[in-house]
Amino acid sequence: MTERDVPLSVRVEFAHAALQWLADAHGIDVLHIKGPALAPVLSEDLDDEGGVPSNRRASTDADVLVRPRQVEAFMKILSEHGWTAMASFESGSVFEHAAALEHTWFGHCDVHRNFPGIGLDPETAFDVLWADRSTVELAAWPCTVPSITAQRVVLLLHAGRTVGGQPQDVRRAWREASPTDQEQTQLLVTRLKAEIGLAAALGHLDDYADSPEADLWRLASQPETLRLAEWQARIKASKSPREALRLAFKALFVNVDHLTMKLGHPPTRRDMAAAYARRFATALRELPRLVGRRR
Amino acid sequence: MRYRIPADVAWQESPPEHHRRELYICRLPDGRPIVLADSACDIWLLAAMGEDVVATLTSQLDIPADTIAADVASFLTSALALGILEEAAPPDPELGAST
Repeated sequence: MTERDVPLSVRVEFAHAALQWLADAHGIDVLHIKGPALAPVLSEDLDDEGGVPSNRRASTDADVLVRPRQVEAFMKILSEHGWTAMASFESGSVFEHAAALEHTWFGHCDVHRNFPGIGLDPETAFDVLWADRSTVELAAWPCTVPSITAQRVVLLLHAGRTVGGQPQDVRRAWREASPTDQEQTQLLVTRLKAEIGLAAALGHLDDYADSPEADLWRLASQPETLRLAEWQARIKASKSPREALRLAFKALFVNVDHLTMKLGHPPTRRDMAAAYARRFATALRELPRLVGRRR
Repeated sequence: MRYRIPADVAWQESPPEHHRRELYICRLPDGRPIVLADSACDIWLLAAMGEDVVATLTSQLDIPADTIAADVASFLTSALALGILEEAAPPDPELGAST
């Protein structure tokens, strides 16, 4: 019995199992999404001989969606079991939807408190997904997953905000789906108020040109997202003047979590000063392009 | 003695692209994964299924029991100590007779 290196895909499955163990032990509702938690029809291609998976989905982390009102408690539990925060919800992405954590043995996980593109109130949306949950075994451990239809929605919404659009995911989740499956997916999208995200995934974002959210989706999938444009879109899509003000203020600051990950150590005052200088230089450089975009 | 997988143990086999047969065993929620390779995989799996490991292996491999008994016993002792196997209660003779 040894303690040799464990392959990444194995560590990811152990991460899923560990998260489920902790959730069960503390009465927390979690749904495992993406990666190995996906149904085979959404994660594998058959080879020419038929039947044998030849393109099993590789995943570098474990993703879970947590019942929103239990997120704070779950984050505390994770911190007591060796999970260290790498990025907070606020600094994780433009959508502020997930926190990234790291564990010595299991690698990385993303804890989602909502899923970008779902417009329904997060708690209600979780109830909708939870109602049709099922179970898959990851590392021989029963883990709770959303229905296959909900998995299609999650994949499509993720593709809609990803550079390159995840064409493999869109193909499996939508283009190769039967008319019935597409209809079920569309119904769930409507119920979750996720129409714009689906439009982004399928390349129909122009149908929502007047929506304040459309710019955010368009920018999220751009290979070279403009710093100022990203924040501008985020502010435009904010739900209240108070949130808009908070975002505008935050846009000026360096993301310490990202800088720590980039440097491999907590930034020094000199690192922070250099990052601020780069941020303002970038903002000034992008300003003329932004003005052009607004015409 | 019979064994079983403890309630807090997750495990998996090496992924298809892995060139070597291995088993990875982990005590949840935060134990360090343990790697078993080659014949250790067979011993753990047989024990986990409640089989008599020595009897099954000697039958399958057509070898005398005393050539492997000591190694199997040593492995099982270590597995118990690490908590990746536990002793199973012996079958209930009354339950067995009634079914």
